[in-house]
Amino acid sequence: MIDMSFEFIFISILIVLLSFLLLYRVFKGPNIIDRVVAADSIDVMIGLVMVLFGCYEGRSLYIDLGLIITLLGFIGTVLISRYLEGKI
Amino acid sequence: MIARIIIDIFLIIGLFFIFAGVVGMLRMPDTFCRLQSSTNIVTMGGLPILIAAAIYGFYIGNIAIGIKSIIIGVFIILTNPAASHAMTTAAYKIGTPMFNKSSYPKNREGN
Repeated sequence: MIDMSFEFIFISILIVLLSFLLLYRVFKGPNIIDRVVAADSIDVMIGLVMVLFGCYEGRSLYIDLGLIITLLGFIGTVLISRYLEGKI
Repeated sequence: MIARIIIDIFLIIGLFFIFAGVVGMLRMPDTFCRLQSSTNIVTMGGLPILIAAAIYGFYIGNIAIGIKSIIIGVFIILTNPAASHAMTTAAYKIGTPMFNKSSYPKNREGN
């Protein structure tokens, strides 16, 4: 049994800070596709933070939440793209 | 002890690629270049962190963490190219302005 709490918390905090940097692209982006791309990246990064928190707690419940967040981000991205393309 | 070193190496690889992708998202001159950096974040940044979580889960004896991390990795491999292709097609069809040094045809009836 190894104790890796420090690594998981450290990597999680750095990923959250990097996703706050991506919020700049969501609010300012000159085109609508830029906002969609930044929001999709933030979705995947929050899913990764959920996985790391599940490893920190030692429970697999939070990894299910990460899977659900990633799935909903994919569905929303494809839906917005099809809407902008005019197919829906 | 060797498992901890392997997990740390995978976590640092993932964090480096996420950092490179975020810098590319903030500094690239064009929408299509930013789409390429987004793929860099999701694929090369997400998969090493999920591999590290799977190794950790199998090492401490919690099988559910390992299996579910591998399932999320397979899901990301399957769905991220589809989402990136949909976003790129939408950006090309609504007439997004390109970088002026690009050599791709800029009219919408090109192909």
